Amino acid sequence: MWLAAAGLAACAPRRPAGPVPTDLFAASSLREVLDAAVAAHHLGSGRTVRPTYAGSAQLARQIAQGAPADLFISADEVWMDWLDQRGLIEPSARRALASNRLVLIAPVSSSGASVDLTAPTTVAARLGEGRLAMAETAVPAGRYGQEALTRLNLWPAVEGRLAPADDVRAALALVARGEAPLGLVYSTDARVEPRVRVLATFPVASHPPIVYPAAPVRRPDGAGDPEGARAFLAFLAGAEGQGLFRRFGFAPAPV
Amino acid sequence: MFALSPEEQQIIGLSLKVAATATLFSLPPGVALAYLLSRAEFPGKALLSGLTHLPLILPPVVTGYALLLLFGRSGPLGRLLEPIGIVFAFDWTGAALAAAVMGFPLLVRAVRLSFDMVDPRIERAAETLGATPFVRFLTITLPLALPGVVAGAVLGFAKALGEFGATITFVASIPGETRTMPLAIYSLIQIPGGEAAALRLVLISVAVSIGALILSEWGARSVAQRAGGRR
Amino acid sequence: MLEVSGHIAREDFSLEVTFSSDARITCLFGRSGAGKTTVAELVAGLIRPARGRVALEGEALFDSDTALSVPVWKRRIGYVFQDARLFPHMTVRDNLLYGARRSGDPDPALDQTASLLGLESILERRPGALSGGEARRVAIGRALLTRPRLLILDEPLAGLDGARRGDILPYLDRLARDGPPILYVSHSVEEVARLADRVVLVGGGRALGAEAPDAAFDRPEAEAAAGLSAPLSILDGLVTAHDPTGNASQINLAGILFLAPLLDLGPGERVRIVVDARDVALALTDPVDASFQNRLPMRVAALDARPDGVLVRLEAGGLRLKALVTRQASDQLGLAPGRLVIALVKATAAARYA
Repeated sequence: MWLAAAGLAACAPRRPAGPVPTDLFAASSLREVLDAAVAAHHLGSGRTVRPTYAGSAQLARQIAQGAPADLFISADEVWMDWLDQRGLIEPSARRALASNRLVLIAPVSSSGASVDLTAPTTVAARLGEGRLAMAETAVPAGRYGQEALTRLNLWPAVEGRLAPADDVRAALALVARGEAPLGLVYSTDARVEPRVRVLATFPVASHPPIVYPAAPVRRPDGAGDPEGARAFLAFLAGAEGQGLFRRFGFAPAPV
Repeated sequence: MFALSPEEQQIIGLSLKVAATATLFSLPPGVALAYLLSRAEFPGKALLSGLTHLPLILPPVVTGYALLLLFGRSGPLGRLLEPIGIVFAFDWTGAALAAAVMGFPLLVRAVRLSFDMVDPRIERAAETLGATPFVRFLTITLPLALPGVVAGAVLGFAKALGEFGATITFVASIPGETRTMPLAIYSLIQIPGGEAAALRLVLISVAVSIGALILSEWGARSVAQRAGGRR
Repeated sequence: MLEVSGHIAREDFSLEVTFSSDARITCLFGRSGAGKTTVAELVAGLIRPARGRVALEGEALFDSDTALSVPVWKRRIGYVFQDARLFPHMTVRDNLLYGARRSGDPDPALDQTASLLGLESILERRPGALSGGEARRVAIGRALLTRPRLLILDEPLAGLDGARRGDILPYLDRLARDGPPILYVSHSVEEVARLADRVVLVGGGRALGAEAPDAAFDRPEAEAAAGLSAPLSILDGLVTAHDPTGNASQINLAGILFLAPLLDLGPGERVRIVVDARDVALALTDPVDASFQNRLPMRVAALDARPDGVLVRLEAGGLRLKALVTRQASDQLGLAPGRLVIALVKATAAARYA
């Protein structure tokens, strides 16, 4: 057994001989746009960025336990603040990269015109016997969604008819498969999935701004690649990066 | 400190309901399948055994997605069952189904082992005394294997209690309906500062699981004693 | 009437079976590994021959020609396995009644059977707490209580030491007298000689019979396949009197009085004596001052030359006795068919098999 362990250890990948890649931890709703940005950045500067996508809470907790991230992009301010409180990010380099909108979606095959979000009865009617799929209310996307539904007076009608999914992408999948007649997701997610159609966009005022803050992670002993983190962050905030965000449906960050 | 809030009670109650239902409904097919695998020889037996163990090796999310494809409202089996009033989608019965599927391999494995331990020669003796195969199973095989069956059921129950990936993928995390303990714990961890509440549920979860595992262990040993004829 | 014919073919083993018997006790006799248990399992239905026929009291239980095979649980053949196979999760009482309950017997003869086999004191025990002999008796009782048409005993005395055998033998005797027809599997000459009415010799890939023990043991196969070291004479008689002071019993063997060691039987009871041919000496005149208590006047019926001597077949009235003497002895005495001789059998010689 010791031989096996030694063997495995010997097989562990060594640090590549070339430039050290930058480790990026980012919220999963940014997957597509950041994949494109990583490619463009590499093309332009030759730098390699390694992205890891998951829920913001999970990533933040992992960073707090010493996960090797150089740059963190969260789906809301809450988790960035949480890391800041623990002194795990560079607050001076923190900036908001983009913002998002919430939309109400339905399976692409469903009939019916767009929905008037100010009329709770129409939403309930569209829901019928089914459930409204959205990220569970503990995660950022779910929190925004609940906030928006509450402010628009729709929450009482749908509260007992939710299908809270693991994350916003899972909710998207439920609607795409036709398991749920309605879903509440980011507008950027709706664009990615051809099997859903947007019924309505939630007014910006109905929820707290959906902002994506980014900050370099403070690593102990200067480990990792702070250089690369700042470089990529600059890229994302710059013209080319922002252009990509625009292309994928994200709105600019509120000033 | 150890009084449970109404919310916690609801979560624990739902978890126990889901796990108990899952185990109860898994037992008849599980015992039948275990007996078949233990006693019968037929072409494709290895394949059947492999299929039974599939949920053990597949990622739970994959199993959950498969359940969604099959039993979801737009899935073939889901649409078949809907007219007769059986709907698993977004229902606690769906959570029970997911838990049952995930615990099934453990149940079958344990029960099969206990059947293996029952000496088939004793069953032959029962035959010479006039017992038909069914009576033989009820009066000889099952009683001798019973502690092992119980052990398997308890194991399946414990697994059902801890089921996460398949459940959340198949029936989402609906509070009061499908938000079992693991899903509730996960949800609490999503909130900054939710650790304390999560920890409470974790401790309860661990206590129940350990209890179940100890029971299962005792059951397995009981079979060995009984089937070996020493009491 | 039990009729069995069949062919069993396995990878390392093949057996051709043909016998029929309507005796009370039919013995399957042969060496270990010869296939005796296989034949017994065939009759019970636990094994299926490649082809063959099994019929009991005229009812076919298996017939490969008509693809008939009555399942084990319908044959009403009791089987007492060599390893008892009691149900470990039941008391002796429940074990005994298991078969009776399956057939819905409203009044099983539990007390009778328990007393026949001496089980009254252990009815509430569990199999794990029984000795080997007790377990065997329970197994016998369990099979008996199903009122079987045939009872198969597979080496009931195997693996038991002297004391335990003494435990069971009396019960077997009783069973032989009062129970259902028995198919008795054994490799022991003693048991077969003592109990068998008919013998099926199993060996060399064949099981043939059934014949009277005397005739069966006379066959060359009996010695070779069954491991007999010498020819035996099996004599049936009635006890006439006991001589307690002399530790002997008098037996009437077809009119001839024979002295044997003290037997546990009363006057008038049937007894079977087995005499090894090597224990029979011959004299031309009656040696009155020799130790032989049995000096039987008989006539030489035939002489068989053998590698180990000459087998002299003697007869007197209905009694037939075999004596094995050396070539020299035979020549010395001038033995020839028709010759009158005195057969000398030590009273203690019969002790070996009594």
